[in-house]
Amino acid sequence: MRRAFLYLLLLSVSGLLHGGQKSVVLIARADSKVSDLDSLTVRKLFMGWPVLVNGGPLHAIRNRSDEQLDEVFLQQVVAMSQSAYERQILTGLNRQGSIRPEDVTSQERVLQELLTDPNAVSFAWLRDVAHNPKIRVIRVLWSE
Amino acid sequence: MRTAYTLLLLALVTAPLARGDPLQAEFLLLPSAQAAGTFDREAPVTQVQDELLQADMLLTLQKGRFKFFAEYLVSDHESDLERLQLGWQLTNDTIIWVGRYHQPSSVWNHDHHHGQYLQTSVTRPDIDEWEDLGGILPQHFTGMLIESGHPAFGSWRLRTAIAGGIAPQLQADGLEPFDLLHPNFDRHTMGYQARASLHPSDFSESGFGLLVADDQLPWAGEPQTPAQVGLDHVDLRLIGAFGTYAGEKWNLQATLYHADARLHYTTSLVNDDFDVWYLQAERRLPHKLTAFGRWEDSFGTGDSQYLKLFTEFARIRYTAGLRWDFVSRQALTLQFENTHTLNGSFDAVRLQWSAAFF
Amino acid sequence: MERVINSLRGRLLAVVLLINAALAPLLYLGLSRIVEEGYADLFVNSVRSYSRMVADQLEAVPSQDFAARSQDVLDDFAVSGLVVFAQIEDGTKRVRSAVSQLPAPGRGEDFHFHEHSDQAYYISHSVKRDDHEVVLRLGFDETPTLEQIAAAKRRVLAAVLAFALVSTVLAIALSRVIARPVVRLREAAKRIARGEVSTELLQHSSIAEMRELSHHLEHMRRELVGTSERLQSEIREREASEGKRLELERRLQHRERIATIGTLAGGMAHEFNNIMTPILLYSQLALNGTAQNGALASDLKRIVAAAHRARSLVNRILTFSREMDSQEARVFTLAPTVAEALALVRAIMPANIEIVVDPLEDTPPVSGDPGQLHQVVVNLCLNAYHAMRVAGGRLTLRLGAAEHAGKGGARERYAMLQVADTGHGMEPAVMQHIFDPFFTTREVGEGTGLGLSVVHGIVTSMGGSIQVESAPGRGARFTVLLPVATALEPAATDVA
Repeated sequence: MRRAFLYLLLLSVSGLLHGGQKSVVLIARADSKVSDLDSLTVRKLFMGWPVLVNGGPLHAIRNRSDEQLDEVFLQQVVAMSQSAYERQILTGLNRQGSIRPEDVTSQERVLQELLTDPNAVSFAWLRDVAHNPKIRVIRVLWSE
Repeated sequence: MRTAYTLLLLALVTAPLARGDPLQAEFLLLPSAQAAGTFDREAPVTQVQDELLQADMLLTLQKGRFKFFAEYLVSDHESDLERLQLGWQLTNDTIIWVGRYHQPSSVWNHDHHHGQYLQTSVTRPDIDEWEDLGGILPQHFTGMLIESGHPAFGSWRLRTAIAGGIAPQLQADGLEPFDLLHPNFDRHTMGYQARASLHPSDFSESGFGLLVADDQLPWAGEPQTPAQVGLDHVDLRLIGAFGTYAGEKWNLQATLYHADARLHYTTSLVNDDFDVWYLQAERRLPHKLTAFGRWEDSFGTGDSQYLKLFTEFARIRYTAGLRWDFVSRQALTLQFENTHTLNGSFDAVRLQWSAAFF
Repeated sequence: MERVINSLRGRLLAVVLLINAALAPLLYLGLSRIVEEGYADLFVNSVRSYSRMVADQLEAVPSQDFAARSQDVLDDFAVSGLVVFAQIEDGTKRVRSAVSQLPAPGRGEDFHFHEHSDQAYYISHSVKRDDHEVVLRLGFDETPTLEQIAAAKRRVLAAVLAFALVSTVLAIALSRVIARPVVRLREAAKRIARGEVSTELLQHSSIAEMRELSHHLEHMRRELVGTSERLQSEIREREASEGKRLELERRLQHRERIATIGTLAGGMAHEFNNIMTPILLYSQLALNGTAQNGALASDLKRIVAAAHRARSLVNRILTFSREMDSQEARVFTLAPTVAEALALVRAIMPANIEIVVDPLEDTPPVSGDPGQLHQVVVNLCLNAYHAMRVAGGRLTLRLGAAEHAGKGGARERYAMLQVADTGHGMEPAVMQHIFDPFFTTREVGEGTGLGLSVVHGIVTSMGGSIQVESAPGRGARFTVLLPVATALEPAATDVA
């Protein structure tokens, strides 16, 4: 079932690329053990909640290299405004000692972080990562 | 004893860090400054929070499933290590903590802790006040805390917290929690607390639940009031219920405590019980304003033998105020209070600036 | 206009108006921005949460029911709140809520509030089904929030204008309060400049600096007024002193002039006496040797008589030149001496001159030569006789006591002799010289001009003074004041 879904995902990604649509995708290192994350888990991850995969917690990286990308993140992933998101993060830090998603403002830095940490997960425009063999697309978060 | 204790503490802290996971760190600073004044004073003791300037610092270090979490408060009143917790993320929804923690049966304190910015009002309900500011319930324990979440009734979420640890001592000026930096191993007893609440979804702040606590508080001071003479220890049992509604515009929070105290004197036993509750309503307004009001009330506190062990307690308090989040992560709050203590009444006005920096 | 702008009140008001002019737009823009951001944040946060919740609920719908229930789910959401458009896109198949108010949007979704002009905010979510994903597309009406923002901005504008108005009114009131003591100070300073130096400068003001300023100015004023009064008093004293000094100088000059003339006259009289002695002596011898009834004897007698008169005149000149140094000083009262002199005067007074004597009360005793006083009375009466001899008149004598300030300032007692006539009187220019020797207004041969000079010399030598009051046609009055004799002198008292 999972294999079939991944296949469909690849097909859809391929279709998106050829169709010229703008898409935001969840990404990790190519050899990451992260196979699939549902939208609820992605939301938890980027709100600083612990998400364990194969015994280790995932490390969320907030890609702020592009303003529209960040708005897509706020609208589609955490589904709240920037101020509400900040407050949620603060609450988690205060109550649980949560680690908030790391803010990275450069696309290169995002990729570097992903390559150095097998548990790191981030998001990017599909066009920026589609042809990078070291990066794996986990799922489509949003497409226009 | 002290050296062994320190070594044990260091071993606990450092052992999980030896794993190969990357180390992540987080630091949060919550400063606040307050101007407060009282008027219409008809009480010998006016409970004006004396921490007018304070900075609450939180540090998290995470390496794999291990988590080190500390909260240190510096104020014009004190500087104290409030929380020092070593945690193990057992599953996505369960974490086990050891160390000094805030007891989970206080919903308010478990939501807001020491930072002023994240609570709308300037002051907390008097039943949830910290020990060194005259609080009547033990808040800081040293032991183990397990926090967990579970799916329930479809999309609902059951959140639980259970804890057990060294309870604060009763002294002439109030409760004195176990201090990790300056440990005193004389005469300590245990306390146990639990809280369970149901929430409509994973991310919802709305919910309702129950709380219980069973704490033994040993007497460890020189008596200064008649109620303290001959006291050996107090068995304090709490049961309570709480509910929170977090809507788009309204926020409501209410808690009811029933306290059952057994005061063990060397020659007698005194049974005492009282009830305390509060309801806080917050209304978000345009212009980044939030209006709030709180009603604190109690039953059976007037002749409580347990409350006579403390300097003062606000049996009734009406609070109203306005908060303005004028820029990102900074707020100004103006608050008025009318307090009726066991010995009189007074009014207070406060203006507070609070912020969060990370 | 310039005066208004340059006044204190004008300046204060101008500052407030300038601040308002600069602050009000900033305040309006700043608050408007806060309002817009606040409403936009509330809107975006709520529609994002809401659409996420709808997507999550759709995802939870079992696959077998999805096609049937999706329409109902969309309708349920669309009828509530701000949702004005709801649609599920499953490939080419589209399910739209029946209550959708807007046509299917032909554009992409929004990420910012009011990003497009159609007043709708569109959000799309991928909803995962078993083997594929469908797209949930929701549209939210921005109009209520836009209206709220517009209303809030109007309130902000009203509040800012009210603030500006209130602050201006307060500034006017405040400028009055601040300027009032300054204006009062200015008015008070004007009055002081006009000479009303008693005008107080102290101002009651709530402004501490103004209060202190007026206090210091009032202190200065009092110091200046005190200094001014002291200076004026000193000037008056100096003027009085200068007058006295000039009077004393004039008297001194007068005395020196009299003394000089007296010395000169004395010298001349002495020489003249030496010349007269042989004339008189040899005339007498010649008369003795001549028959008494003969013409020669008659001539000689006339020579002897003339010589006697000349000698008498010379003796009077000598008396004057010696400044009447009394050789026979004793204590006596005036009345008997005056009565004796008056008897002599009556003998020579014509009938058209009436002599009036006030009761000669006994005066305090004086020290001096009664014979000289006798001459004083006679000379004064003869002076009066000459003033009245043509038209007649009345001669009045009066005696009495008087008190006057002495040399040390203390009051001293004097015996007073007053001689008044109703004659032709004197011009002030004449009065200045009447005591000068040889000064006379009479025809040549009618007087020597020494009568009043002798009187002055005698009175001065007795330590007294003589004053004259006269006006043309109104007669003259001479007042002689002689110091009362001290207690040591009565031993020599000899009441004549």
